[in-house]
Amino acid sequence: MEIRVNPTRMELNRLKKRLTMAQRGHKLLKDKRDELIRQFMILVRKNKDLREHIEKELTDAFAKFLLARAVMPVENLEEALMYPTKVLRLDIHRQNIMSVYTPRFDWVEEQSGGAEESSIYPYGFVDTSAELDTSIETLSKILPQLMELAEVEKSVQLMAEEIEKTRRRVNALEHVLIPRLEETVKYITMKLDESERGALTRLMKIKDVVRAKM
Amino acid sequence: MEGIAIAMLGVALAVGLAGSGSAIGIGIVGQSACGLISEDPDKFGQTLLLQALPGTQGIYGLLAGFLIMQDIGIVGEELIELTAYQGYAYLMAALPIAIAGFSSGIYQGRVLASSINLIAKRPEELGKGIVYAVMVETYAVFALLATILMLFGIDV
Amino acid sequence: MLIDDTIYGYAVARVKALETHLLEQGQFERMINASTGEEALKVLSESGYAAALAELDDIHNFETVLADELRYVFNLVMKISPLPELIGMLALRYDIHNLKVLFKARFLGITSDLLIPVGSVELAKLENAVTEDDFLLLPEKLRRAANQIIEDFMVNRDPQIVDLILDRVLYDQLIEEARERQAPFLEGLFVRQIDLTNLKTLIRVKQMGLSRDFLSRVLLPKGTLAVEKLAAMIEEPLESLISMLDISDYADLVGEGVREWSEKGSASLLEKLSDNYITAYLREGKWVPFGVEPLVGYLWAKEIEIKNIRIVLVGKINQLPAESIRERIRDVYV
Repeated sequence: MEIRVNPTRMELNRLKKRLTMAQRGHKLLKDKRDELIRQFMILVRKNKDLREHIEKELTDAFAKFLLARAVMPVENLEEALMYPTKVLRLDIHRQNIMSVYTPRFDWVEEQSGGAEESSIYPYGFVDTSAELDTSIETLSKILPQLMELAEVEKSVQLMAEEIEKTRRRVNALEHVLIPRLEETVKYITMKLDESERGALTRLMKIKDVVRAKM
Repeated sequence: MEGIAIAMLGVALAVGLAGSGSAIGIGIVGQSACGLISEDPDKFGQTLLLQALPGTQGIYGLLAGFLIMQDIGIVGEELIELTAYQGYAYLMAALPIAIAGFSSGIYQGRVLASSINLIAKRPEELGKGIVYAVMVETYAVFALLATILMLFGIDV
Repeated sequence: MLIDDTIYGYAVARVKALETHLLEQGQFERMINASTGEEALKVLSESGYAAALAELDDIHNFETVLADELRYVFNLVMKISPLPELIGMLALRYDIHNLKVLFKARFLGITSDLLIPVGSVELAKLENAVTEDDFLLLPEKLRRAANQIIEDFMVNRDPQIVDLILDRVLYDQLIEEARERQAPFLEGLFVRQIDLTNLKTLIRVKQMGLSRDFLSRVLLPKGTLAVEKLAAMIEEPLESLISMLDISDYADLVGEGVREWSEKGSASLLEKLSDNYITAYLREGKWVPFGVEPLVGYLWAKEIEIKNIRIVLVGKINQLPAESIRERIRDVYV
């Protein structure tokens, strides 16, 4: 590798400072990466559990919905579900995990009924199948989990990006910047030593000449 | 001479009432037949046969009417002198076929309308449908028999 | 009022001829045994649905074929019936459905394509009535219900109330009209439908965990089972419901259906038995030679047939096991 620097003492000092800084940064980034990975693994595990659970519940709910749908004319079904009783208000906050901003969902379910017995079922009992009730109930029960899953999934995605970025930085420091700085420092040191030796030799030579003349 | 008029009332009732019975009966079957034919035109022959059945009452009435008319000479050379008593006798003799012809015509029509519904689903059961209608027919035949026997009993 | 009942001759005979085209249990069996939805559809196109199915390009749109068929049959029976008012009573359900859709659409501020163009009142008029708040063309009961809905919704904004009020007024109106027009057969039909709906409602409300108070408000009056008695059942185990109805007409249906519901948590058997019960009732009037009975029976038969087709096709398209399709297939009328 060609190094184009002025082999001066000032440059050497500058480079040395950079090197220590790079080494410190490298260490910090490495710690950050490890911690990120640790957090990431926790989230991934949580995500996996949630997902499996929800998928099971959803399959179940969809199967039930399918059966309800099979015994009801499509117009009746859609009329029954046309006007939902609940409105979901969703607030998204930012949350900082190891300098990664992940979303946090806060939601409020608002009952459009207001009356004390209004339920999650926005339809009457004539012409609707009881199988619809169970599927609506299951779906409504897993809604909070679905929101949580969405939150976790997005966090996992953002963390994965951040880990990738950090890893690339660590690698760049470890394999490119630090070796290069070290090499340059070495080169300059050698160069300086060399010129120092040259100066010494010259001095001794002059001394010899002077002494011979005397 | 007023006997003739009374006897002719008998003729009118026999032919008229029995004929009305047939007409109503045939009308009822006709309605049902149209309903069937509009979906299944191949059954025209069978429905026509069924529709014709309530027509017999009219024929019986006409037959009875003819017999009376022959007796009293309306169909023939000259009118016969009838007392009022004889006239009433003819009127009474005409009543069985008049009454039974009227009602049996209508009810036979109703049975046959059901038979039309039957052959809509099971064309092979046409015979049974006819048998049920013929059960109603029996009483028209009895009435005709009574009318004829009564006519034979009248001395002119 | 004594009317000449033979005016029904034409309509009844025509319906009898039409009945021969109804699908039989065996055909449903063949559809269930088909390997795919397309195969099942092929079995179906060997029947009276051939023409409509030929134009169907995507199996998922089969609903339009079924809806068209139902509309066609309804209009046909209405047209051939000598007293269309009686058949019109059966169309009231569609008016109610359309009102529900229109009200909800209005409250949501949208337009909806869920309207069914069958019914005793013209759709455009209904639409106009709901947007203009002018219900003069509706029968009195419906008019009062409409006003009640608007008042209630402004306060509570609960969409369920739309359905609840309209469902109740539907059966009120039907029973009253059946009595007025002296149609005991239809009245019997509506009373049975009320009873069966109430039984189902009782169990559903119980499972939703709602109050007895709520239940007694949503139960339909005018059935043969007293509302108070049914409402009291919400605090009892389902077993006592079964024993309460032990000597009623509904003993078999409740015994089997409710037991299955409480044991397996599935309402499908009770709903199927309820439909079968109505079918059995209508079958009693099947051979009436002059009367509205066979016409009503045929309409119901068609409705059940369409329900069965829907169950099979939805099941087949989504690859449900044959068993869960078969256990939902209703008895056919013929």
